[in-house]
Amino acid sequence: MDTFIEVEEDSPEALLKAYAARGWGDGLPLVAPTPERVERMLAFAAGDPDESLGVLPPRSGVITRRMTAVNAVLAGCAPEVFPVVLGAARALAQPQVNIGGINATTHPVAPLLIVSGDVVAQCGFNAGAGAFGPGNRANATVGRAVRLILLHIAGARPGEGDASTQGGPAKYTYCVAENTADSPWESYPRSRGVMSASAVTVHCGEGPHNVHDMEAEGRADLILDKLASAMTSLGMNNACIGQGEFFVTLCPEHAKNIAAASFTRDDVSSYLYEHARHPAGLLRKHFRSRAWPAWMRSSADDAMLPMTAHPGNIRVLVVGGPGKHSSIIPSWGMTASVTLPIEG
Amino acid sequence: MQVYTPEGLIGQAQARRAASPASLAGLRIAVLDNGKPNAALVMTRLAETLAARTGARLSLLTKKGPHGQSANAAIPAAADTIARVHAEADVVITGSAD
Repeated sequence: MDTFIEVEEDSPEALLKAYAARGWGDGLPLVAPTPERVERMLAFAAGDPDESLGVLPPRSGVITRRMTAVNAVLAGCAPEVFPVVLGAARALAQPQVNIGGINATTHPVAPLLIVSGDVVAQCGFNAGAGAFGPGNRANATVGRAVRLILLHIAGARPGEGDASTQGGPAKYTYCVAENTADSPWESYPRSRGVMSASAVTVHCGEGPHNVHDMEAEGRADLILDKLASAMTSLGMNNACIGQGEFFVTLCPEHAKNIAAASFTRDDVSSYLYEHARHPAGLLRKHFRSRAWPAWMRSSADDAMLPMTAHPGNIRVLVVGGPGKHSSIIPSWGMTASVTLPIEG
Repeated sequence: MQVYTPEGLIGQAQARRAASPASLAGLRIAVLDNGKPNAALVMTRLAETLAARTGARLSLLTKKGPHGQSANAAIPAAADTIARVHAEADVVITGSAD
């Protein structure tokens, strides 16, 4: 396998043409991964550049620091965010993520990266207004780098290694920062026992589902009821896969109102677990194939079953800026999120 | 301008299908149910039709979980089930996705 190719001229158009001709890239302009740029990226990572950090199916491609750096350069990353990309790449290779299934499924699932801790301010990630959207280099390029890793190293090309029926915009880039400054609770990684200064979480799920509430006048139960309502779509994989997680990304104002009513983070999960429910018979009517634990399988048809088998599967954090819009992010299902320290 | 290629090395040999036999006559056909709705029905009918036309026989119909029990389509087949298919069949019909 060749390590380098020659591009006829030093221009974005020539690089895009050369890459597209080989089936590489995501369709958008790329930054040329010259040896000099890759070395500048690698300067932010300790360890052997060619050490295997994991293998990604279906291509069985090997993640190394060097190949991660190549894709980070292509995505337009600044070198200082490279440890975040590396952390995310390591997370993708964790067996509980089931990246083979993620790439093989017809579902539009994409890995959401949630960046937490000191690195958010140090590297200029956006945790505030419009955090899921465009306009911030760190968010945009780190998410894109992960997608390029999946396209190139994992071989998850649409219609080949990625069987998604419709695809989805989150498959271009899907990275957000946790707004710990405006959160009433400790950082999400610390709530999961990851005590490092910075961490990255990977959750493989759908795009964000908006939950608007402007009439609750601060009442926690009304805000939470709307969140629960958004979690009960029969179109979600969570409706038939008990292990599926929900990520609940509250805006600061909703989080503040909920915390003011003495809800802890775990209380929010428990409330949503109790209120996001359907009759077992309705779920059985819609799903012949159900990945439920025994206690859910044995429930009578009139029993109200939760959209996930355990309240701990409902993960809560704060994202965004001013306004009254939160979101829920359902899971693909047969996957579990991973939170890893950012180490380089 | 010299630039890196983006894919890197392949870490382990990918599984590949064995060469197709010249004839199915006398061979044993297994159906490995991938867990998707209707998959077992479609694949079993296919196996029965193939057997009737070629002189093969349907030797095993199994789900892909441990001990041949059902498993979600999104996870790999259990090792003991794969071993049983390997031991009890010459040809396997299975599928992925929907």
